[in-house]
Amino acid sequence: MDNNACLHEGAAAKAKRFFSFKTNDKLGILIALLLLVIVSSILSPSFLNANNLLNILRQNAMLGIVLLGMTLVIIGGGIDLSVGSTVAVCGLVAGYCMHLPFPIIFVAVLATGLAAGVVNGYLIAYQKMEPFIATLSSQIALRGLCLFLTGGTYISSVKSFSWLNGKIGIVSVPAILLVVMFVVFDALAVKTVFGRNVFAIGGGEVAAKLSGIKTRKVKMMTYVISGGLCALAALINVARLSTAEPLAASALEVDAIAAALVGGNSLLGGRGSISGAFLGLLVFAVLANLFNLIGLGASEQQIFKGIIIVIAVLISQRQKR
Amino acid sequence: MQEDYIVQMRGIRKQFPGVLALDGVDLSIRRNQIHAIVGENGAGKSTLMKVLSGIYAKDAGEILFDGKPVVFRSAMDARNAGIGLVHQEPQVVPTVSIAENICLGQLPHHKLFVDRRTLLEESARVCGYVGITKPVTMPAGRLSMGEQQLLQFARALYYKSRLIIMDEPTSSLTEHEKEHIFGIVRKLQGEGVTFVYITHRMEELFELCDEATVLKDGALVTTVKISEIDKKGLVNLMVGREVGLNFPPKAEAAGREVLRVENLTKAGLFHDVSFCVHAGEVVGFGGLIGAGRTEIMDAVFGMNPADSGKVFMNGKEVVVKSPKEAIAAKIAYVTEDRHSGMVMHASIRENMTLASLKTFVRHLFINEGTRTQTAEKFRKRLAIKAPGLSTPVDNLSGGNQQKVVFAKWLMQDADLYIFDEPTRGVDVGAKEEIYKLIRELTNAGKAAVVISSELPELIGMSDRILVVHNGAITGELPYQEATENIIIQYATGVMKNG
Repeated sequence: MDNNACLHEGAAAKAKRFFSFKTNDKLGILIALLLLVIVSSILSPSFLNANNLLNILRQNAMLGIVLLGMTLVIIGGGIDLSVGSTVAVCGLVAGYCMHLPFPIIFVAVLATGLAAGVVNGYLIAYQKMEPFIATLSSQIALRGLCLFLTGGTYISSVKSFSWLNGKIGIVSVPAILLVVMFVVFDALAVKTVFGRNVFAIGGGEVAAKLSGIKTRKVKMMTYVISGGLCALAALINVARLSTAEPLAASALEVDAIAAALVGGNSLLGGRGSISGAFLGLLVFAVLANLFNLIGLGASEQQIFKGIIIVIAVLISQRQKR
Repeated sequence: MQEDYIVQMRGIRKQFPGVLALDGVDLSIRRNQIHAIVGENGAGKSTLMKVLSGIYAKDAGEILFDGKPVVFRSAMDARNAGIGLVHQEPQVVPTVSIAENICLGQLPHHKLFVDRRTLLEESARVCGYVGITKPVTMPAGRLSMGEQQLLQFARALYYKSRLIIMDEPTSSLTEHEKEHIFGIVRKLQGEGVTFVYITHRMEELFELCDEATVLKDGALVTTVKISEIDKKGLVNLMVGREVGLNFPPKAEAAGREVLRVENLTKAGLFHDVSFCVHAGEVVGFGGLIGAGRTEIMDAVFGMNPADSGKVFMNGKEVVVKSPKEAIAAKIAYVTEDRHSGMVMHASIRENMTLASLKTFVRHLFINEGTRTQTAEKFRKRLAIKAPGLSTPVDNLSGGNQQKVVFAKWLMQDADLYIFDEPTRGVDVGAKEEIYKLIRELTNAGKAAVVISSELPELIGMSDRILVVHNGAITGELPYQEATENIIIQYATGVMKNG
């Protein structure tokens, strides 16, 4: 009896710590980010400037939005290598539709992204194809489609929806979108039945299936969501550059996977968080910004990126033991 | 008189490719009782329960639940009807919290969102009932095996199951954990829950159950009241099938001692295991699946070394910390899972010579000529049916795959050969060939250990039989004295002489 009462009393306190074991996972990356911010502000006085900080968010909006879908897919035990090509195809669709009213552009682009996700999801969830193979194939085929459609040329002066790259007050629209979407998706992953089911499938598909979770449907949905987010990312990218190009967003999947991993997500699935991925994104974003401010090039950045991934994953593996 | 049955299954039939797993089985379970399902390995116990719980679709027959015909298309259908499952291997998502594991598949929610308060309260309530004391927010992977088993009971409670099917829930638990689970079962029975209990363990069955249904080779033998039968009577119902296999003649006399094992012990798996094997002799290891036979051989071969005890080969003590030392001491081990012993997409030749590549090396390079010749020699000797040596092994039948694995170890020229379930998934003709091959080895002065769960095979193959129960050797029988009945009695712990 005592035991029972004790458990009940504890329930309320535990409610607060519902996600506690995840905050622990993120402590390391949070510290790393803080250190980076401190170092950056010492090395470059202009770093902590509000404009600079908002700019960091704006520049990483495309990657960040794609990262949301990627993280969801990875938590579900999969991977999506097709995001870069999907963004490029969606961008071209936006370019071809640029003279149409924005709602129509939006629907057309979204439909393109979702379609790519449906194909990936169908092959993986219903045809039991390895996620790596299915999405690698789409990556190759979609990139080919982009080059085929354009003959390798650009679609320039795509300005009909450049307000997407505008500002509300001093904050740019992509930055707002990025933050809002992260909050929404973190809630999706943490608080909805769908999100919890994605975690369950990634952590143990057989147990999830035996418990009556519609594993195929849920898995498919993660890829469809990823495709839809690629569409949104494409609109932001085209609005920013005023150009739709066939080679846009090349190797975007690499950056997205890297940020997800540094944010404590495991490629084995079932472990990780959207908020962790966001911290991962910020680590790379701040690092890139710092390197630019102190005048170091892309090659140095890349070397550091690789090293950071290794260190981050080593640390998180140690924590799990 | 109207009987009160919670479940009635009639004429259940289930066909798997090549095997008729259930052949018109009837099963009636009285409400609020604990009903045991018993039978030898492969009798169809688990299949029957998977049909009942919606995991397998039946090919024919009908199921009445609470007197009404039901069709369960998935595990979820059965669960919603009030049937809960406790799997032998706990079905738990290790990365997810205990709370979410309990409510897995049916998280409490308002619209799209998880209702966290209810989730935590409900899971804490059922955890309290079954005695899980860890916080429900902890990842379930940190629970012990016993606690994960309890979690499955908590889940069945959360789903308000009225019938709980337990598939050997105690097979990996300690005595204490087992008693705890039995306490919960009795408590729930007192609250009106019905149980089906699949088990091999006679003591547990007689301790807990009201009735038992006996299955054999996918068919119903009978259903008996536990109060009206004793252990020996029940064992008699489980055994006694005719197989009609031909076995090669037995050894005339055993030669010198090849292997001697003294007091081999590994915590939780087996303890104080001592035996020896002589040249020219086939020693059979009988027992139920999970009794520890494979684990003992894994230790002898160094795959999973023992905590204490000694192993002697040809009179000399050998310390086996890994298979490398075992192979050097001339021990060969054909494992239970053929697939782990083969590269499936590689050819017969590659697979046969994989472990003995060094012997074909001349001047740094592998001499492909001798390699092919040797492989061809063994293909002929073992009569492997295949288009050629370059055929990938995954195109071969189970029996021929097994022969390829044999060939690989024969090339090693060991003194002791250990075979773990050498005829599993192999048809009758190939079985007899495998028996012959093993006997040829011992006739040539080698020693052999054969683990087999098929009793006719065990008796037919062996010169001497050791029976393992709960990680200890409980019986030793020369083949002349061995009957299925006696072996089962040793294997289920009814009888002991070790």
